[in-house]
Amino acid sequence: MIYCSNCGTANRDGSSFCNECGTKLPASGSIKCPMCSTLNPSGKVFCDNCGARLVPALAEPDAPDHSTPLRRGISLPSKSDVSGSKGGPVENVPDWMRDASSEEQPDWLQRLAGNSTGAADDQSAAEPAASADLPDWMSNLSASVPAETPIQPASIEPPTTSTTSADQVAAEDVPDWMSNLRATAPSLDDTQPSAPQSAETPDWPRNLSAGAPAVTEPPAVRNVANDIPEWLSKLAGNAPTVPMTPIKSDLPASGTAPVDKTESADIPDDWLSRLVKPAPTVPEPTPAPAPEGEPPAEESSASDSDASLDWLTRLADGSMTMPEESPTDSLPAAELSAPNMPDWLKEFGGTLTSESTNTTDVPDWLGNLAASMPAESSAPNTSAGVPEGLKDEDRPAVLGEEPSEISDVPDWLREFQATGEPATSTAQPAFSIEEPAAAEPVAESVAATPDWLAALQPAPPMHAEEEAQSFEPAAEPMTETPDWLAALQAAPPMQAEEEAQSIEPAAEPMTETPDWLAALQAAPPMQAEEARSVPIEKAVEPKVKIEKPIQPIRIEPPAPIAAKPIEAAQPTAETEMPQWLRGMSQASAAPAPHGPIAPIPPELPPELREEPAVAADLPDWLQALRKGAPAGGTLASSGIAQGEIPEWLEALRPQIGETQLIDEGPEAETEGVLAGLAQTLPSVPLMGEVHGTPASLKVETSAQDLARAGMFQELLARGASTPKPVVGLPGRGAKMRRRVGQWLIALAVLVSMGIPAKMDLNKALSFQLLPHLDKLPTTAVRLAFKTIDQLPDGSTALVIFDYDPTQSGEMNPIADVLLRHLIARGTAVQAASLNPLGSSVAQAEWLKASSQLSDTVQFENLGYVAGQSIGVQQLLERNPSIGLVVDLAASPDNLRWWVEQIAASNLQVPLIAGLSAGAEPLALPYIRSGQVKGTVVGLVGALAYAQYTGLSPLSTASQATENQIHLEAQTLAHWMLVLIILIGMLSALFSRGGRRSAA
Amino acid sequence: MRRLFTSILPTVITALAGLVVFLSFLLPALTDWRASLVSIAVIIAAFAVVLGFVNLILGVHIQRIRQGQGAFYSLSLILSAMLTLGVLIAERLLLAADPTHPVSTFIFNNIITPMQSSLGALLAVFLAVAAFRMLRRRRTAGAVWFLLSALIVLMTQVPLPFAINPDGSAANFLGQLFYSARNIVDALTAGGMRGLLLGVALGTIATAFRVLFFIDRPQSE
Repeated sequence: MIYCSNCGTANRDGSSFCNECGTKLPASGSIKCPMCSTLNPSGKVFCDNCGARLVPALAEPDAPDHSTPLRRGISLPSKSDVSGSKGGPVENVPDWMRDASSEEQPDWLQRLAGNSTGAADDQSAAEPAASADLPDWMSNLSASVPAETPIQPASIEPPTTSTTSADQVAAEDVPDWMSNLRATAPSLDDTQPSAPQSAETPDWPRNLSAGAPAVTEPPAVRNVANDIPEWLSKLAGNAPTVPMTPIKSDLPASGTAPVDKTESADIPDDWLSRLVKPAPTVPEPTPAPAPEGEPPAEESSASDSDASLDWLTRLADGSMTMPEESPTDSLPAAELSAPNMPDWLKEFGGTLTSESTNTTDVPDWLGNLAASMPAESSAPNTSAGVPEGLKDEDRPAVLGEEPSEISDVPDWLREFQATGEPATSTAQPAFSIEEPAAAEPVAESVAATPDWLAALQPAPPMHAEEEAQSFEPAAEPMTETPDWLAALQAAPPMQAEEEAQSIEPAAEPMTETPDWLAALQAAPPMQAEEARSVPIEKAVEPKVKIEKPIQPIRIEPPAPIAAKPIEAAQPTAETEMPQWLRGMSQASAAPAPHGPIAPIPPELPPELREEPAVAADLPDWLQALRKGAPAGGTLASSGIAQGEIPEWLEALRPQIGETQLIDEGPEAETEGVLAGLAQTLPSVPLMGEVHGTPASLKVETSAQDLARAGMFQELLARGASTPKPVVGLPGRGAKMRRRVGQWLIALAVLVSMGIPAKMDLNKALSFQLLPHLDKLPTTAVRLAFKTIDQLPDGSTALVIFDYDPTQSGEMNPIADVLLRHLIARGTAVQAASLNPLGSSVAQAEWLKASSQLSDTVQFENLGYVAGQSIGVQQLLERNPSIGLVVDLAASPDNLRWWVEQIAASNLQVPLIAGLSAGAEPLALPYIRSGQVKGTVVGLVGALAYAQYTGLSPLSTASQATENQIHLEAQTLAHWMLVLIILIGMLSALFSRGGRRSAA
Repeated sequence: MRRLFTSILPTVITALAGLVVFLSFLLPALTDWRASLVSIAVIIAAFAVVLGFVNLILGVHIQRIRQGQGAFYSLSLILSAMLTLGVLIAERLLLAADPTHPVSTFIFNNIITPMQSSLGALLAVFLAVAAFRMLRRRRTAGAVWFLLSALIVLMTQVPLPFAINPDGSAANFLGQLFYSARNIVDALTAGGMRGLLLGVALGTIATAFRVLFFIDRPQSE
């Protein structure tokens, strides 16, 4: 085995990566130290370098015989690797058991598992190396077993004699343990299974099946007995007198099987066998002590079990009934008091068969083992001197009811369950257990135990009417569940009489139920009388007094029936009880069978008694099992779930003294990990109440804020007053003045424009105020003229009319002089416009110019070009042979588009622009940079261009007067506007409105 | 699927088209691609004009008529638009042989041009009134600077025959002052305009790259 340094999971030899966490594993044969990474030889427990532990505490160091990984999940001491020893391969173990590795187990279970594995390995190696990892109490137990425990004869071939069973393998494709189960199925009704046991059957079930005392093989048993943990051996030794039932949820397969100590030779599972074995032999739980010497089990059934497939067969046919005089019964009392054993165990061993006095010394989990065993109504109360679980094994009647529901239960389990029924009717307890004088009801003991333990305990006894009430609601939600699950859930606790009647019909709905589940579900409820008769409380109460951790399982070998009083054993048990067990015992001892305290009383309905918190960690089948458990055993939790509850949460469980407080508080949690807890998380309404402390806003108040607040307060103190008229709003007179001013300005402009038409202002003023056509500067237009004049013949000029009729008064003269020049040069003209109205303007201007000059010049109106700059680019690409571009732009943006696109298209096309006076300043950058070869700006520029060229009608003598009038009117209007602005600025400086506005 | 057509596909098309047009100025081989894309853009732009017209009629003025706000003017606009559109369509259909388009030319010369010229003339009056009242309404430094700038530009645009010789030289002090003012205006104007153009160019480049590299996706939802 290669143990993962990360998670501790055991992997097969040769594995490169961990099966659990994927961590790369060290090379086979060496163990990498998790602390210093030093490679240590295989088998080392501690690192050679740093001394760190190389393998998890629960596992043994690598052994060459190991071939099975650690089990995870549900765990009870079971054989993990039987291949190396005498049993069958571990593959025969169900997956859920095989996967029950250490991580999901409580520590004590992990230790048990590790011990069992080690013990199993050591059987072949004859080395008690496993004891190294065992706690002291376990070591003590194991040490005391061989010497103290007489070996009982095995009813079936012990695991050590697997050679005989190996010849009887039924099927190879099916896991052996299952095939064995099938093989035993036909024998269910006969209760005398005769199928041979598979050679590959794990040892533990065989050992369990060996609970039948009829057939024994002392030599084999003796051989393997040395490998049994001592404490288990001791348990086995007590088995004849202590009816026990292993934890069902933890050991669905083996947990319920009776184990004979004599057969627990090679594996630690034997203790289970011993625990379960006496179950059918438990007498009816009556206050009267059970007869000391019960007639032994039927020899016929026991002998049949030899030929049966497995131990379960024995169980089914009642072979569990142990002979009355078992060797364990004859154990001397002196042996019980081994020097290494704690007192409580000694006492327990001494009184194991007596009363419930020893029950208190038994850990709860052992007590729960009994929960899975039926309690026969007529059986004597055997729980007197045994743990709770052990006491509960005395319920064969309940076992007898279960077969009705477990028709699909694995055969081995079915048979195991079947052992209950014959035990109730025919089989006599193999060991008589003295009934306690004052038997306590089981219900009380269940209530006193923790929830998860209570769940493991047998169903509380219910009367017919209670059963009817509890059974029907449980059957309702099963409509959508699988049949087998529904059957599980619907399994009602029944009394012995009813169970006997309902066995046959009840088997029908369970056809789909897994065998083992059905067997588990068949946790026998106890009748009320039986429960009350079980003196568990006595065994539980002393746990409250436990002060010192003790070794949890220290059951002495079969002790003399005359047991010591439990009170005498308690102090010792307390001292040696481990902490975890102490906490459990305290919880179990909390005398609060009602209310929201942790132990859910058995009187609660099944749905309330369940503990879904545990179910979260349980596999589905276990959850289903829990739900389907009878009323008495609703809390079918496993030790795993309990182990995962953190300590702090466990500490929150109500203890003694808190009951009253809890009763007054809100209801306890019934679900989740907080089940049984109350007032731990107080319920707070989500709405309607303020959560948390009231919010407080810190407002920093400055002096300014205070001043404003004071002003506001002062204004409020003044009260309402008559609002004063708003100063800024114009009155009627102001409106009139504004309108008069507008008209005056308009009149001034009109007058200024009309004066030149009526008079020669220059002559009137004797001052050259207005320009004359002959004296206009022509410098700016010469470049444009030169550009057009230098065009080669036959060139095409693209004239862009980027203006609309709004600017036509200023732009048309420019277009006119330029078109006439182009016509005079004989240049073909293509007109286009980036303005939707520009094409019409172009058409009109072309018609005016061409009509007066020549109509032979090619003219093409390209119309409106959409896309602005994109249209410009397109025009340039369509006409690459254009010799000149004339842009008549009233807006500088239009000129910019042309400048940019011409430069971008790498066309060496000259561009001249006819601009409005307002656009000319914004076009200066392009003009100064030379990108625009020449400009004709405004009316003045057009007149200058006409005067300069002499080609335009504007330059003719007939147009001189008209052009002069236009020029003078425009100039005078300019001056008028300047005058208006100046007057407005000066008047504003002295006007009241202006000052008020500025203020 | 909706995201494909509303976000992914438009973004990819925009980026590819932009990259092709951008690279076409560097790689002559892509000139034809650019011409095709520009043609598509022009068609889309022309369609946008039609769409704008329809939206103006239906989305704006019809709503105004329904709401009763300026219904008269909106109704007049719609009727005029429909009349002009009908006349032009009829002219193109009935007088297709006459390239001078006499009806549309008549409408343009006798209706559109006088009306828009009149509006342009009124604009001068409105500007004069606004300048006159500006400091009365808001006596701020900005208002003062605005009016001073307007005065200077107006004066530099006005021909000064008494100060400027026909050859363009300054005839007197006023002429020199005129040219000084003109140079100041030109410098300030040119500098300011160049700065604006540079800013526009940089902004255009940044925006173009943001669009090309999918940073801005104005075309997608």
